[in-house]
Amino acid sequence: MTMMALVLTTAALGQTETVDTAQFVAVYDYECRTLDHEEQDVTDRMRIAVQVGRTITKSMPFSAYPQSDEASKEDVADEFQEAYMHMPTVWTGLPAGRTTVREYIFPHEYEGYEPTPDIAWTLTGDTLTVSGYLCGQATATFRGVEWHVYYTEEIPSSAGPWRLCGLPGLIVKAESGAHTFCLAELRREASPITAPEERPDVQRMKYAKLLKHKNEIYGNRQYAKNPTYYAPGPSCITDMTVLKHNGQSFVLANGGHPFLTKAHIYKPLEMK
Amino acid sequence: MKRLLSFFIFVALAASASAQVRVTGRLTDLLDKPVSGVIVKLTSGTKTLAFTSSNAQGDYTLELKDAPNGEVTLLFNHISYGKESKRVVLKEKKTKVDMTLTPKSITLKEVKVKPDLLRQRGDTLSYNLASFLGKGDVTLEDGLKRLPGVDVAKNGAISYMGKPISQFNIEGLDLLGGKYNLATRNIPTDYVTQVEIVRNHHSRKVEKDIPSNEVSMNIRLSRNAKFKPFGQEEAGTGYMQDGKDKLQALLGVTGMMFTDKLQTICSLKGGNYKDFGWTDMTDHFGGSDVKTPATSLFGGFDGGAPPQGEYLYQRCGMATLNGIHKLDSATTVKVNTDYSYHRAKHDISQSSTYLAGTGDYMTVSEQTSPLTKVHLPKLTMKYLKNADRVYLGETFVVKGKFEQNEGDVVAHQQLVEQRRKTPSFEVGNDLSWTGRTAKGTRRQANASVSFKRTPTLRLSFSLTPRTEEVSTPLSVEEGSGVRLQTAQSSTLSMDVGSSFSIPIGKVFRLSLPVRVSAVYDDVETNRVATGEMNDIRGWSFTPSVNPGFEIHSRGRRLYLSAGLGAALKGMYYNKLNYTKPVLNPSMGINYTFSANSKLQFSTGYTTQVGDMMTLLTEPMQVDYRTVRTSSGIIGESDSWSTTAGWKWQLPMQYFTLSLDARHSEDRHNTLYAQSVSGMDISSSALQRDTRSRSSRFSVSSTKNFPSVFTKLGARADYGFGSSEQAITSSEGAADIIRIRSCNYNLHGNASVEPVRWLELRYNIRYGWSRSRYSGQNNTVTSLTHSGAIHIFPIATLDLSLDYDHVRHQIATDTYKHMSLFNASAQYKLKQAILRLELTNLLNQRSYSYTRFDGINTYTYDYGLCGRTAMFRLIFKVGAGNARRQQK
Repeated sequence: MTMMALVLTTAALGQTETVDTAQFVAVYDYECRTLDHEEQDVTDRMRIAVQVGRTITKSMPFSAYPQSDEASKEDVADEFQEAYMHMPTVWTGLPAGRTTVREYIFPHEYEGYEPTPDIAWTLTGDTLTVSGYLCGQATATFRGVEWHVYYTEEIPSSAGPWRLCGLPGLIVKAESGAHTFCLAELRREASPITAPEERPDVQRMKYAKLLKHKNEIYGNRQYAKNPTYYAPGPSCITDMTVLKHNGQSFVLANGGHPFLTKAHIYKPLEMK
Repeated sequence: MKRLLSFFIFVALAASASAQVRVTGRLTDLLDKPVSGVIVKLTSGTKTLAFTSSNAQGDYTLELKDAPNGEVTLLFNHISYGKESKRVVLKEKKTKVDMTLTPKSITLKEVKVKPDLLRQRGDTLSYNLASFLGKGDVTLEDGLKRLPGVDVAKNGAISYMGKPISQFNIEGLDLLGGKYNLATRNIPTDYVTQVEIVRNHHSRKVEKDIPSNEVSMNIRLSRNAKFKPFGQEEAGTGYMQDGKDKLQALLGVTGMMFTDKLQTICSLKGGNYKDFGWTDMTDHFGGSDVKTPATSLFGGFDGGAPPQGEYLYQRCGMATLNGIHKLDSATTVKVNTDYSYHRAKHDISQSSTYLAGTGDYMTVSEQTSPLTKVHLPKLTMKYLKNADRVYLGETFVVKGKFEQNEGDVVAHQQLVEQRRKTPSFEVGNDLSWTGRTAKGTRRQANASVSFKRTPTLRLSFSLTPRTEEVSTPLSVEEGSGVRLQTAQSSTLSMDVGSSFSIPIGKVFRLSLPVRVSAVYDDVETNRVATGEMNDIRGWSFTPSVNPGFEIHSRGRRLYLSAGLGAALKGMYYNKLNYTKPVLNPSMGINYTFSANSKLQFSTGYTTQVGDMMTLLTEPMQVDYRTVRTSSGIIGESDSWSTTAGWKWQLPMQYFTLSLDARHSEDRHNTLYAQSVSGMDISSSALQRDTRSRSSRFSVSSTKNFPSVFTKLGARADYGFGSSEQAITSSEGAADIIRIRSCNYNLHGNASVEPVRWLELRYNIRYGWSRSRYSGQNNTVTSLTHSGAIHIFPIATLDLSLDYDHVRHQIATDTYKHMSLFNASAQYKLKQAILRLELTNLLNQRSYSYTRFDGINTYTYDYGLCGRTAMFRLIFKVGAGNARRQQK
């Protein structure tokens, strides 16, 4: 309930505008294979909701999807799990021809913008079937990371999870060395696609600059053991809440964002 | 100069620009409003030439480097609009194609998507094992049985679409060779993510441009099973009613570790429950047995095996240590050390009916309890470099087989004690090298040497009369004490070969393999009672050359290969000098219709000359009533064999179908002759040409319905043939009998999970065989059903009942029905499995069946093991910690 209150409060503060309506929603399982702060193998998992509209596609952590199950919203442990994985919210086609990214990097929220990148996919001709969907394979190297992707022309949408898109069918599965996206659910929901909240405290910049900043912070070897090593001091924490959930304590700071005391080794989705 | 360079650059750019083709257009709806996000694809047949999607203004642009020939199709696809297409010819540099799209309702399947069950990448099929597993499955073998097209035989042998796998890898490394039961029966299903079937498998990467009919399997492990040691430990105790070992026990410890560079599996098992600890060591690729001329001449007293039911009282033990280290991406070093012990005893009553020279039938009835004890130590070391351009394999093997047999027989009120003791060992080394140049020329060289020896094989027979009335005297004379037959043999084999193959043009390749094989044999036999001895020693020397060619079509759909197979067979034993040139031409055709459909055809003519064994002309006592004498004639046989097969699979529909046909015609210059005198059977060979032929057709199919966890399979085969056999009378006259045989078998199986808490399995086999000779007509049928019901009151508890029902014909109009029932209860905990097994619930004690072997008829009645209860506890050790860290 506390989480819900925080989310509602946050929503009330921000101003959101509906920019498109989803024709359908694809839910993906996202896995990242990495190491924890003690360098033990760990696989982080979360879900991603992708709203596919007529002109705009919005990919976001599942907990941020307005139509997500209420039960999952209350599970603060899931939200902390998402915090390990640094998954931004991505608007493809907003504004037209451009991509906008919102991401919280303690202690600030950032927004990056750039022309929608054109991923040079190569169709390999290999096939796979997922629950009756016949898929084709495509490969591409996107910003230093090699992707092997399966897409289905049975769903004629060039959308996909995160920033992956531009194929002649919906992306069903995408794999790189450490990362895997796999389609888990399709929903025919005409949910509103909302634009980024208009908030004055958001740091806006070109996406290349945001990516550089993100990779520098998370890529530092101190990060896993001390996730806030770079923070200037306690003054950057505006508010803090401690939640007890299923016998565990969770700390939320700066408007309900998870506050990590230990993290996992960062596996970037984009190198440069 | 600069001007000239600029001119050339300009011309090059202009030429490049002239080749480019651009297709543009605007996409609108019925109200002339732009439609964005439309996928626009340019295709030629099934090939996608280019694709893009329309922008917010409804505009799209497609660019091609070269103008396609002929008509192409522009496809417009959007989830909210009807699919549109337009055929165009792109002759101009710029083509504009606008399209109006009609709205449609969204027909999106609103379904939850499960992880992909199956993936196909070229020749590799990857099964997501978890998607096929049943609730009661514990080991990898349980899971493999559920995969489409995959069969696992009772002894653990894996085949795909009827083709036995030729290699079993774990994470790409061949750790165990043919002893893959160690993995399939000890790795829990939880630790396996993918099972990959590789068709057209090449064990040597340098030969990957040659078509292959081999199939291999590769196991992908979950991260839980990597980098940390884990194991499966097992303990059990039980009781067998009426058994020879009433107290049953088993204990097994298996540990393994799989990292990127090192893999190891170690296991120690022992017990007296069924074949626990023995079948783990089954070598499906052969090579673990030691066969010498002496052991081939004098086999044991094993009485065969019934097709169903537990009949062996066994004590087994084994220890194995296997490790493979990956030195680099292509190089591995492997060591496999094994020791296994097997003691097996069973009871059998046998009735054998022989056709005697007088036209009468002689029936011999015997009761025996064969006992076999065997020790099998083996050490293998292998270095392997398997790269794209070079293959280098060096294998050293030393192995032994130390066997003792007892085969006491009660026949015609007499007891004959039979004993056999035979130690054998073999040492061998094999070196093989293949190199391939960038142009595709291949060179190959190999050298192998092996030495095998049986120092002393000793058979003893002693007779004890049970009653005073002895109707038929045995060849072992009464009261004359123990009769002995001894033998020894040594064999040194050397094989050196070299070949090269050169591509000529793009579709033709010539090859010239040259090989020399030399075998030195020294065989002695001594029938002590009569002083009859054989002593043969000498060389067999065979140089051969097999010039051949390979042709493939440009698309590599058709592949044809042929070879001449010329050889010079030389035999130099004692005073015999025999040399004969032979030709063994062969031809093979492969035609690939598609990735999922393939036709194979092969035919060959083979001439085999000479066998040192035929020179053993002095009688040899093989068992208490069989004396074998060879003809002294150099055997020659010609064989023409043709096979054809078609395999068709639809992996995405989980369907496989294979059709096979085989025909062979043979000619031998000697004829097997049988002589029956009283109870004694003598066999020899007559110098007479004899011909035999056989044909066989088979069809098999499997189909899975993963959504309802169902697997169906069916197989049918039909065969017929003819052969000849001679019956010699005591006067030396020989009757030639032509035997015609015919048989068919039908097999169906189904595994169904109609509801989540119930699983049903059913298996039916029907067999019919007929043999005709001299006006006699023998027909035997058999029908077996087996089934199992598994009930899962909760997901972790498996209650099962399985049965076998057999209806066997044991004589004309005489059938024997028998039912065997087993039950089990299995409870799965996170790190352990508790299992209670009840075997042979009805305490059936015998099993009968009849077999025709040419003109002889054998009826067997096997004693079965009594009712048995066994409680087993299986622990999974080690990987549980890894799993917890994953959360």
